[in-house]
Amino acid sequence: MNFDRRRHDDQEKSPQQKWKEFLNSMSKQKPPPKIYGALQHSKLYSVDEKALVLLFPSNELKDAAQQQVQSIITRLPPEFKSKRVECEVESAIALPAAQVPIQAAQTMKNPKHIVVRGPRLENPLQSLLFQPYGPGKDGDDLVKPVLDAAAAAEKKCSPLYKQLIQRTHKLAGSEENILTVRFPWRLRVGGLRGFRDLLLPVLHPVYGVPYIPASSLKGAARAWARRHNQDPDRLLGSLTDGVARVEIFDAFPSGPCLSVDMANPQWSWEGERVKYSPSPHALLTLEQPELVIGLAPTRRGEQTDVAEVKHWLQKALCEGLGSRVSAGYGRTELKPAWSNSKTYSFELWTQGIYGAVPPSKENNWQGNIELRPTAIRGVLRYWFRAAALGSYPPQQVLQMENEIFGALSQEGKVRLGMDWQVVSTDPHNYTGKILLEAQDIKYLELAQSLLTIAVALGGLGRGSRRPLHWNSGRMRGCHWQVDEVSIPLNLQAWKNLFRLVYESLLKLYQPEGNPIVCAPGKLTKINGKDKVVRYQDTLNKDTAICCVPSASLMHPQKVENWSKAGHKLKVIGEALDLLYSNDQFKGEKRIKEGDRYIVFGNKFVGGALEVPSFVIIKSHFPAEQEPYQIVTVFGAKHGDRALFVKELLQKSGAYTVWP
Amino acid sequence: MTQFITYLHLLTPLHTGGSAQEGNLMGIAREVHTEFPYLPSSSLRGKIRSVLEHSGDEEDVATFFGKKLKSGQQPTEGEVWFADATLLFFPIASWSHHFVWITCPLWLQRWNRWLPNAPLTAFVCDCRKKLSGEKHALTSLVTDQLFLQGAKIVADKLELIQQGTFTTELEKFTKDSDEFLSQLPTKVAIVTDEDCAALVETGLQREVRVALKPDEKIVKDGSFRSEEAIPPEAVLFFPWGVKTAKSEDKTVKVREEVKRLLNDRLQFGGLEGLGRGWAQLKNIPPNLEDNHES
Repeated sequence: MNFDRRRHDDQEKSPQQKWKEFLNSMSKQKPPPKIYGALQHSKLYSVDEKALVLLFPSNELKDAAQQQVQSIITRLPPEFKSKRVECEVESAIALPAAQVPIQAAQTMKNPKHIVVRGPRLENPLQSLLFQPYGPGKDGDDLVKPVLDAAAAAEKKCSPLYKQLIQRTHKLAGSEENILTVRFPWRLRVGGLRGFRDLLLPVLHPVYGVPYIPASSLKGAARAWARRHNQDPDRLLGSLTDGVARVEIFDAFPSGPCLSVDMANPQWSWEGERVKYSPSPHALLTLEQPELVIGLAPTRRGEQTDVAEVKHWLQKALCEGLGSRVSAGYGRTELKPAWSNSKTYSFELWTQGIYGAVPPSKENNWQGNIELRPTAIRGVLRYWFRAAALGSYPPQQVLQMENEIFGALSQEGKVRLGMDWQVVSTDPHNYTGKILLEAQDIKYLELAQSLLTIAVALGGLGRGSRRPLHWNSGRMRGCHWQVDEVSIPLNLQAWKNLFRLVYESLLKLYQPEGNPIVCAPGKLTKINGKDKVVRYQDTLNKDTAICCVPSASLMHPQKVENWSKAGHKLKVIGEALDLLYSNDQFKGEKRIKEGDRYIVFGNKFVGGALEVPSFVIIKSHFPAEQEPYQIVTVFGAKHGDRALFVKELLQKSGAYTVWP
Repeated sequence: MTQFITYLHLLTPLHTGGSAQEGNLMGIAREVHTEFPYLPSSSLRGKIRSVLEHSGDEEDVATFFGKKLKSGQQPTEGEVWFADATLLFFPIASWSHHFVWITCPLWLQRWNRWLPNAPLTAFVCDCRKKLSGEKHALTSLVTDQLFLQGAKIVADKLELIQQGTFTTELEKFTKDSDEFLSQLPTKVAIVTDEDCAALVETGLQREVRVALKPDEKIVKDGSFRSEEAIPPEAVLFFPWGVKTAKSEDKTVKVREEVKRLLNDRLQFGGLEGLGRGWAQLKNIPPNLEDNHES
C-alpha cells in the first residue's frame, strides 16, 4: 500500500504541489488577487470535497486568512473547490512523536486526501470542563473563550469521525441502510451534559464530540409517521407491540462542525415596554453538519422495514431536528412541512451580518460573516411588535408574540427557513429563498404581510436602518429586495399595505383594550450619567412615513467603486443626504481630542452607539418607475425629528404615506 | 473440561436491563458486592442460545444448553456453562489524551484467575504495592500529566508500565482488532480499585430521554428519564467452558458454531431499537501458545 502511494505521487503532482503552483500563479498576476495576501504563506494540509485545510506559520496569519474565508471559497480553482475552508496554525498540528495516534500512520484510501501528519485528537467536551473562563468587563466570567476552546479541539477530531463513520457503516451492514443528510445551516440537539447545559449540543461522554442520540432520531421518525397516519409502533416498537423491527444507531457527523454560535435578542419585554437591550448569549451548535445515520433490521425486522423507517426519517429531517427549528435551525432542506407555506426569492446586499464573531477592536474590525435565518425572524418580530403595539394593549401583544413566534416550551404558529448562496463579498451580496409556513392559513397571511412591511420599510441585520452606502472608509447599511414584494410609487399601494397588516392581525386577534402611546426613546439617568433608553418603535399616529422620490438613485449593483462613489447623492439618495447634511439630524459621533470627547450629531434623530436610529431609510427601485426612498420616523412629534420630517417633505415630490 | 475466555469490545453503549430503578433513573445491572455494572451470565447465555436456536438444529442446541422444563419433561443438564461478563477496561474521557482505558488491580486479579497459569499474579501484586504508596496511576502513556475526567495526575504520581506479562496478555485480544481497540495497549491506566469505582460511576453514559406531547414542545407528564449504559469502547470478559459430552458427535456442530459466534458481532442487553449493546467478541482458547486453531 505504501509503495503504491509513492508511485502515485511520482506520476502525478501531489495536491500540495498543486497548491504551491496555484499560489505561484496568483503572485504573477498584476495586481495579485486580494486573497493572495492572505494565502501567500499558507501550505495545504488536506483537501477533499468537504473541507480544504490550510496551515499557516503563525496565529496572526491564520486569523487574517480566516477573516477572508468567504472570498477564498468563491475564488478557489476547481481542484480545490470545497465546502469549507479551515485554517490552522502549523505548530498546533505538529506533535511530539510519542503522541502520534495510530490512525495517523494509516494510509488513506482516497488518493485526493493526503494527510501530512495526523492532528492530535482532543476532546471538546473535556475542553469545556478545563478551559478557564475569560475575564469580563465587570469582573464577571466570559463563557465564549471556553466555547472557543471546545470548537478548536473538535477541529482536530477528523480521524475519530472517520473511524466512527466506518463503524456506523459496519453496524448498518449495507449502504442502503445508511442515510446521509446535510444541514445547510446549523443544528443543535440539546443535551444535559457539561456546564451551562441548556446551551450545549449533546456531546459524547467518551469521544467528547457532538453526536445525535438514536433516541432523538427515532423520536423524530415516530412523530413524522404518526402525523402522516402511519403506524410507527409496529416498526419502532412500543410497550404493547414489543421490540422494534428496525434499530437506529447514534449518529455522528462526518467531520468537524462544532462552532460557536450566538443568540442575540435585541429587544426585551420589561413590564409594558419593550426595551432595546441586546444580550448576546454564546452557544455551541453544529455548523453545516453532515450526519451519517445507520439503520438496521433487528431480528424481528426485514429489509423493507428499514426502507420505510429510513423514508420517515428523511422526511422528518426536512421538517427539522433539535431546537429552534422555527428560527431556521436543524432543517435539511427548504421544503415546506406545514400545510400552508409560501416561498420568496430574495437578494441582499449588506455591510455584513455576523454570528459569534462580530467586528471588534480585538479582531481589527474584521468579524466572521454569516448570513443567519434568525435575522429574518428578528425583523419579522420587530415589525410585528411595531404594528401590534399601535392597536393592541402591550400585555396582549406579548401574548400574541409568544403565540405567533413561540417561546420556551411553546411551539410558534409560524416557522421560517432560509437557503442562500454568496454572490460576492465586496459588498456582501447573497441570493436565496425564504420559506414561511404555518398550520393555519391566517397565521401564514400574517407572516406574509409582516415580511412585506419589513421589506418595504427597512433592511435586514446590521445596518438595516440605512440604504447601502460608504461612510468613513466603511461599508454601511443594507439593501434587501424580495421578488414577490414590490411596492410601486403610488400612495394607494402604500395605504393598502398598512391596511393589509392590520387586517391580518384582526383576523386572528380582537383588541382587549387600548394601546398605549409612549415615546420611542427618553433620556434617563443611569449611574449618574445621561443615557438614552430606547423603546420599541411603534406604528402609531406619532410615526411619520414619507416617500421621497430620488430620480438619480443608483442600485447597489450598479455601483462600481464604493470608496469613490458610495457616499455620493446618487448612492445615498435624497433622504440620507438630508440626514447627513445637518449635525442636528445625523447620528451621534464622539471624537477624542486631547483628553476629552467632542460630540457631533443628534442621538435623538440619527441615533448613537447602542441607540438605534429613530429614522429608517429604505431605497426602492420599482421596475420601469422612478426610484424613491421611504423614510420612517418614529416619535415624529419630537422637536428635532419633527424638523427633519418638515425638511424632508420640502424635497420635490415628497409626500406622507403614514399616518 | 475445556475453558475459554471471551472478550467483549462494546461498539455501542450496553444497557443491561435495570436492576435499580431510583426515581426516573433507569439503572443497569450491577454486581451486588462491588456495584460495578456487568452483563449477567443469564443474559449472555440466553442471547447465545437464542441465536443458535435460530440457525442450528434445535434438538442439538437443547442438548448442548440443557433441555428446558416444559410439558412435564424433566430439564436436563447442559454441556456448557457461562460466567458473568465483568468489566476489564473502561474508557474514561481525558483532556490530555482524548480518552484512556482504565482498569484496577481487582479487575486484573479476576482476569488473572481465568488466564492459564495465572501469569499476572506478580504483576497485580506489584500494582497494588505501587498504588498503595507513591503512585496514583500506572500507565502505558509516555506523558508528564494525565487527566481522567476531572482528575489530574502529575508526573511523579505516574509510572510507566514496562513490557512484560501484562502487555503480552493485552496483545492477545487487541491484535488484529478494529482501530479503536488496537489503541488500547498504548492508552491504558491502572488506578486503585476505589478510584476505578469512582471513575466508572462518573463515566457511565447517561442519556436523558423525554417524550414530547404531540405538537407541543412540552414534555409529556412524567416521561422524563435518564438511561444508564456502559459506554462504547469498554472491554468486558467472560470465562466459559464446555463439559465432556456423553455423546460428543451429537453436539459437535453446535460446539463449532458457538466458537464461531464468540468471534462474531453480537447484540446484548436491552434497547435494541436504539442500536444498544453491539459488541465485537473475541474468543481465546486456553492454550493459545500450543494450539493455533483460533
